[in-house]
Amino acid sequence: MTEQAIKRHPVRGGLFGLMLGISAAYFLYFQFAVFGFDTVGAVATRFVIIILVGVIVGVIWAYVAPPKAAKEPAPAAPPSAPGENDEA
Amino acid sequence: MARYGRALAAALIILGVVAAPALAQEDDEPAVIDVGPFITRGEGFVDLNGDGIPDLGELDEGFAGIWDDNVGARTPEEFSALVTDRIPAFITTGDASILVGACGGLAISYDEFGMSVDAMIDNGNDDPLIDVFTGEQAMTSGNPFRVDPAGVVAYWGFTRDLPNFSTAGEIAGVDYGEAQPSYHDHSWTMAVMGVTADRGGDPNQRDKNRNAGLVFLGEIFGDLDTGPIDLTELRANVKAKGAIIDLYAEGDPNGRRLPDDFDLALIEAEADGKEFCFGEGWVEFIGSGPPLTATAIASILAAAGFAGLMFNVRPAQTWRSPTSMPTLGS
Repeated sequence: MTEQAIKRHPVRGGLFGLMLGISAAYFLYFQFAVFGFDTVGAVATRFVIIILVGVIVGVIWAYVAPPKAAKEPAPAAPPSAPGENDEA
Repeated sequence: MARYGRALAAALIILGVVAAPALAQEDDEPAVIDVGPFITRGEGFVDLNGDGIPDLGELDEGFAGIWDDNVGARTPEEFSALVTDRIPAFITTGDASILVGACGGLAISYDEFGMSVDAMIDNGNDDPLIDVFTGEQAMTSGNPFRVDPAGVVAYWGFTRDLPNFSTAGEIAGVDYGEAQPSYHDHSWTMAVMGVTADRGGDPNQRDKNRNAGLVFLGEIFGDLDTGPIDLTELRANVKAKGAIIDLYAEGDPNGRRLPDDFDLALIEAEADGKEFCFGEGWVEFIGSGPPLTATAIASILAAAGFAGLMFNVRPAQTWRSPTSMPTLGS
């Protein structure tokens, strides 16, 4: 008999989160100047933090997001061998 | 159909996130402070765009200080070394602006067509820098001094006549003339993001206590070789600071330099009771932003990342037989 299982994708989540984090850092710094360029150290640190947050969010999302329904129905159970379900 | 709906919702969220800051930056209020009395030198500074601030005129070419660095005198290697040195130092800085000391003046930024963009004044007292348009504190992170990177910044500066100023320097062979209180044998420096951008000094044997100048940012940024990045389109908030100390180069014919890494406490310590000025605040460059290619790449990256999180990262239900191993990971 088959049973339902959940397949998760934390590595994919990290990679897509990385992409989102890099683009977010770009827009926040260079396009809309939400964050300022105060010191080189502070800018570099915030840049890394934004990207890391993206990665972490992606990984967490891989675990907490509502699962997608299975694409296929549960496979039919194979026929039982003779005597397999007999009571002892 | 639901998938298209989710994609549309994602696009709207991204649009909202990126458009809100841009809309928040719009402001067209007229000036509330008359800056006319500050403009003690210059011709043709007349208000053309009706915002209450005189638009760009002309100043005669002046003379650099004897110990002034030429703009861009620092080599790329020296600049790189300075940047590398600063990276380990994570500095948590305040949001307010500072101008300490017996100096003040007016600064007006102009766009590339000579129309005024922003203006601020300091009366040389203990009050902070004042935004000429709003009358509130200027150069804070929330109200930075707005500058067109392709434009010009004009300034009129002064020092107050205080008895604590030196009346003459002590460089051998320099005739300081009649003793007058002002900065002598002084050294000054300016830094952007904690990295020294320019510095200089002068014996000031003419006892200058007024100065006016134009900073042609468009020409300076346009001449810098920054590869595919056009700094005249820069859009960013940048922290800048500067300092000057009276008699710091006293007795040094080569002009003693202020430290590259400085703050108010260090300048006070270096001044050691002599007159000084220290200023720090935020400047917002209001260029058109990065080139379209960079923004397009970042937009594609954002869309791919968001779509990936929405459609390819969510856990998936599957079926397994009790004898098979559980499947985890990608």
